Amino acid sequence: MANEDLIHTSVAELSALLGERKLSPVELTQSYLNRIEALDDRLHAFITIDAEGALAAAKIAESAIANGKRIGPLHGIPMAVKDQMDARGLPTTGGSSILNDIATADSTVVGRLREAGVVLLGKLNLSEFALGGSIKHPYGVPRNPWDTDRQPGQSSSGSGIAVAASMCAAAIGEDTSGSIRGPASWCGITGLRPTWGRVSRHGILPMSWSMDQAGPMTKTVEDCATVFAAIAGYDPHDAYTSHQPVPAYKSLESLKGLKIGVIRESMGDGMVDSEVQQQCEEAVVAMRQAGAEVIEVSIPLFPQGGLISNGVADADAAYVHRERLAAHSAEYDFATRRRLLAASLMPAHLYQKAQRFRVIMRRQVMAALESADVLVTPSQSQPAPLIATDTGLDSKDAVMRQFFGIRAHRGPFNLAAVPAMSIPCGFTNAGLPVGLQLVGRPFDESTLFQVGGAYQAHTDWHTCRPSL
Amino acid sequence: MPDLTPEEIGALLVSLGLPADPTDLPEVAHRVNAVNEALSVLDHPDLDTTEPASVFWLKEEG
Repeated sequence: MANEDLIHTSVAELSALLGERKLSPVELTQSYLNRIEALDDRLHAFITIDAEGALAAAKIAESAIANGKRIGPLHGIPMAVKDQMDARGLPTTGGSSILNDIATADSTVVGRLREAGVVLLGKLNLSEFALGGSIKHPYGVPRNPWDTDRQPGQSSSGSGIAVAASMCAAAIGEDTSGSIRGPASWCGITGLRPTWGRVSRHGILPMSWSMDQAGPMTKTVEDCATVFAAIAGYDPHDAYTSHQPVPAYKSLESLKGLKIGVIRESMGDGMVDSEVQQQCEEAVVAMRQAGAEVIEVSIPLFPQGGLISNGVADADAAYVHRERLAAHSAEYDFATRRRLLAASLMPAHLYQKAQRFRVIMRRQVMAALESADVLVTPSQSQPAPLIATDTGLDSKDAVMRQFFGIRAHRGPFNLAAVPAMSIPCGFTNAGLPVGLQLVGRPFDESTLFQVGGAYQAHTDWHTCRPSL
Repeated sequence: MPDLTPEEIGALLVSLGLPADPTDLPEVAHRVNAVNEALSVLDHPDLDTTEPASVFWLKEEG
């Protein structure tokens, strides 16, 4: 297989070839750089491309592997990270024209990737300051590789595009209220939001201190597990990282003995597009055929997930941005600015109320996870919409329609601090990807990987690539 | 809670030292009024006996 074709394969396949010295890290890196050069003017996945640094790292990896000093499965694998995370020597913009400082040190996530031998291709586009909802993008409007008139999802838009369009072998995104799972769903890839506390936040621009969580975005579940193992674990620079061990990935042939809980409130009129629902229901049938027992579970507060999640996260973000917003308001995208200004006015008693509802949501999610090993819902309520040129928020009702019910599907799980992963499960009639969200118990990413991996062993949605 | 007008929103923003561009105020008002209304009507029997928390695993791991 030519290198130009190899870039479309999984990390696992590339890693095997690199380990056997049938593939050169330098040639592989150059192939991805060629792909970026060919596509990025159309897709706007990257903010910074570090060709020189990537080729230098690839040469070091090549030499080490040739000398029998292969570090592990990611050694020589070209990846990219959301431009919310510091990478020494490169600017961190946060997708904003306000920031452009060169990072003097790596974020913990980037440092761990480098320790694993990853070749860093560059930094990826995102919604301004990772808030989501941006209209203007100073580094180019990110476009969905499956239909370039449509959104790739926010806020880890560049990460979703780059993996789906094979502009890197894998990427890192960040998810506060759905920013990994959303782009993964709309771009047709796999994306994991780990348990909060699994992955260090050190060196990552913050939005909501108690929900921000970085995670892998990859072509397959197996790749997701491999990247997760490299970046997860306790970090003395982040007091809220856990000492829980990160277990190795073990694949399952069958789902026999596992219970899959379909969340009743996540389906039906007003909650999800009919084509999305159909694809997700067919995925559940495939899991049943793979041996799983399927049951229905209830999370009564589920439809309020978007409201509560946005209530908490936006108020946290308003605090983070209070000084910058006062000093640089005109330099913000107007949608970001209006969102932050509104959140700045949230009454204290309502913030307290949202935090109490967060605890109630956690109880309901945990109760559902006592009945089932893994919960499933659609990752997004609808397929990727057209790229917006305005917010469309011309009334109170428009805000409620746009921000509450249809944003409910991911919020409950970042509120509950449990792991959640989006995997591709089909396409709409218009050829747009649909994602299924798998939700697990705290620190039990392993079961998510096993269920998702078994599903991908029985289906081929994850092997579909956009025509570009 | 009563809806706030764009003018009232502008005054609140100024009081916090935040920008109050007139072109932003109608949408900011819609956003504020929507969140205030939706959270105000949300209720649960356990609400007042539930203490807020943000970090769950620390308590669970001991």
